[in-house]
Amino acid sequence: MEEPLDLIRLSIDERVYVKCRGDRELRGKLHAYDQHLNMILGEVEETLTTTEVDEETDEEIVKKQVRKIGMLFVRGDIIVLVSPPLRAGA
Amino acid sequence: MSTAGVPLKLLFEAENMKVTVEMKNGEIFRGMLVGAEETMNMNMSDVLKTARNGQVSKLPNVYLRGSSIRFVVLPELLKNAPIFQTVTTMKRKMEQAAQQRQQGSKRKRE
Repeated sequence: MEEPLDLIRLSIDERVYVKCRGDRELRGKLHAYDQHLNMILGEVEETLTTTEVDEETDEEIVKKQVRKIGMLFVRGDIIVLVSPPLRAGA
Repeated sequence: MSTAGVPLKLLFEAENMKVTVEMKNGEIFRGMLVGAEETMNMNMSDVLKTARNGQVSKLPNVYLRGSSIRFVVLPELLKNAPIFQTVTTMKRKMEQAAQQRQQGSKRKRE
């Protein structure tokens, strides 16, 4: 029987896209994971997205900050989505 | 053997190495990982703490609650850790099993 976690197993040693709580996205190579979704990611790019509203113009200013990390342990409880990398602009 | 999953085992491998821990509240702790537990509670020494406002402070000893941790930056040399042997073997076995299943169904058709 294939359960959802088995689908993640298919992505081991492949690059993945991980959406996290707090408007964060991670793109990296999935080295390991467990039932809590704790993950070990290598060659990671973290994208932090912030949205500010300009008081005068009321326009939304969306900012993205990217940082690179060589080897990262991610705690499972912050993970919201796991998928193969998105094709467009991955 | 502990009930720890593979990622946690790698965290244990990082003991006595310099790590950077980012907490859920945005505080950052960089220092030597003295010990980690299955709950992910971590004991660190010679820590440089960066608060959310950017203020930096030195703490000789720190104990962090696992549930408050967002992630841990590990030393890159851990990618050579023996743990990964099991992961690659598991994946290979999975792929072999899938191939065998495919071959098996082809034979039935013939």
